[in-house]
Amino acid sequence: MKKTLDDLCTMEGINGVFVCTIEGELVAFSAPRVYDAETLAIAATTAAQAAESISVQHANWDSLVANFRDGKLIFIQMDQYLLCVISDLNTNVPFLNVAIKVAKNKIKRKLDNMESGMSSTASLSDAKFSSQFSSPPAAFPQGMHSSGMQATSPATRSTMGEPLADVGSGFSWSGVGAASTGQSSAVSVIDEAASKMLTRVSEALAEIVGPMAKVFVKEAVQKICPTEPFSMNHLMRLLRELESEHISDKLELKLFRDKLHR
Amino acid sequence: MSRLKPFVNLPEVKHGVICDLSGTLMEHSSMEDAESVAAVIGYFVNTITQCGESLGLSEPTTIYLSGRDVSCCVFTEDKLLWIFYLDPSCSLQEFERKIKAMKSSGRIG
Repeated sequence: MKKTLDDLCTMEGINGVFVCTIEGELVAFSAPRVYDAETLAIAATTAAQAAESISVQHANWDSLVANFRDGKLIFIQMDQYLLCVISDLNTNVPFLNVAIKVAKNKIKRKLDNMESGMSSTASLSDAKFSSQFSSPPAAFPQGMHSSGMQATSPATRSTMGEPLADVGSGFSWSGVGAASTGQSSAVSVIDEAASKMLTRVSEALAEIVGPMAKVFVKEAVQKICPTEPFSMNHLMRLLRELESEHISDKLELKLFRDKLHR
Repeated sequence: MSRLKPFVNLPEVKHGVICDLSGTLMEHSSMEDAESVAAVIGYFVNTITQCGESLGLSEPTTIYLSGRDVSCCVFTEDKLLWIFYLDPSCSLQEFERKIKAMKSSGRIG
C-alpha cells in the first residue's frame, strides 16, 4: 500500500496522502516533503470526525473536495477507511481524480487483503499461530482498526489504548510446522529457528510500518515460498521483498537493519 | 431581501441554505430539513477547518461533496456558510465558475 501512496504522492501538486480508519487512526501515509507521522495522525483524527459528521446528513457521499486558502484536501470514502489527499491549490482536480481512483482501487484491494489476512490469522489460532491479531476480534472492530498506526508517532495508539511500542509480543510466530488449515493464506515454518526469525523480522519491520508488520511479513512469505514452509534459506529473499515493498528511504532501511541485527 | 434568490434561480440549484459557523440557520429556500442541514454542515465545516489548520492549509473557502444521491457545494464567506444542493448531473467546477462570475459582475454580494 505504501508504494501506491508513494506513487500518488509523486504527482505534481500533491504534498501528502494518507489512509485512516473511520475512527481516525492513521493506517498508512506518504508525505515525503512536508508532513510527518505525528501531524498526519492529528489530521487523521479531524478528517475522520469531518467525514463522520457529514455522513450524519449524507450517508452515501463518495468524495469530498475542500479548497482552503493554501491548498486542497480531498477525501475519498472507502467503506471503513478514508483516503485523504493533500494538494496544492492549483492542482487540476479532474486529472487528479483519475489518479486517485486508480490508487483507491489498489488501496482497497490491499486493505481487503489485510482484513482477510487478519481474519484468517485469527482462525489459525488453533494451529499455534499466536499473534496479536489472533486476539478476540472484539478488540479489533472491523478486523484491523487498531493495526495501521505508525509506531513512530507518539500520538498513535491502538484502539485498546496501549502505545504501539508495547505490542512487541504480538509479533511472535509460533507456527512451527503448522500445516495449512485450509486457508490459502496460511503460513508455515520449517523449524523453531525460522519461526524466531520471522518474529524478529516482524518486530524490526514494525519499527517502520507499525503493527501491520506481521501482515506484511506474512504476505511476503506467501509470495516467496507459496508451496513450502518458510526456512532460513528464504530469509534473504524475504528481506529483499520487504525492503522493496515497505521501506521507502535509507533512514528507514538503516533502522530496519539495525533492529534486525540487534 | 433574500440573499439566496439569485442563486436558487440557477437551473442546477435545487436548494440553498445560509447558516453561520455555529450551525444556526439564517435563510433557506423551502428546504424541509434546513435546520438540521445547517447544524450538520456547520459542525462539519468546523472539523474540516481544524483538519486543514493542522496541515497548514489555512481556512476553507469552498467545499464540494458528491455521492450517489448528493451533490453539494458549500462556500464560506464572512463567517457565513452558503450551502447549495445541486442537480447531481451538473459539474461542481462549472457551478463554482458561474458563482464567481456572478460575484465579480456584482450581481450578488
